[in-house]
Amino acid sequence: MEIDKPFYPYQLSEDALRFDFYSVSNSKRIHKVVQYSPIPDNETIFQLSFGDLKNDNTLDFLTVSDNQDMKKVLATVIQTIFKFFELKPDKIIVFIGSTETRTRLYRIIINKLLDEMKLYFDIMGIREDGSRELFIQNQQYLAFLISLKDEK
Amino acid sequence: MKNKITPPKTDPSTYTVNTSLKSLANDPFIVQQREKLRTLLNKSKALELQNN
Repeated sequence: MEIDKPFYPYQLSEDALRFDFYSVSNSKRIHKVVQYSPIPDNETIFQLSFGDLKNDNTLDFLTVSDNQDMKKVLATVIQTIFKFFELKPDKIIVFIGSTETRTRLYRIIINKLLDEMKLYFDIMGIREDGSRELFIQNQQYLAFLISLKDEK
Repeated sequence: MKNKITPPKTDPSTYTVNTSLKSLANDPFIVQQREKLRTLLNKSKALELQNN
């Protein structure tokens, strides 16, 4: 399965909301961070943010690092999602692209992984007008919600 | 409330807990994105209430 593909080992913070790993190629080593943070006024929903850690300890969400390992990086981010739900099964993850291009990329990735992800997760798309629905391929969503599926 | 399905457990050999990792939840860009998401989620909730 795509979501079981090789991934980078990672470190997680004590509160299990920050995950760090390194994207490694022959030419560079990039410090990646996945940070989950609660949405104000909403105890259930956590924002997923993913970027490169800069020297000043802030995150860069805009650079396309092009380190020839996108699949492995993506598989690592998916591992953090599994870990998040292992510890917080009743929570919901929400994420939005840092740019329109990034949002489109996320949509393409979900399209590609949808059949496998549907085994464990309900994925919803939210449009710009606030309407939401179970993710349908090739729709223009602004943000995405992921929750663990209910047992049948 | 229904129980959630149990996804495969993550392999403990693939990660370590690092107590020195501090939250970056207040990173300026994350805060900006969070505000955007909060507005969108509120809009979504209002729309849902209106439709019901």
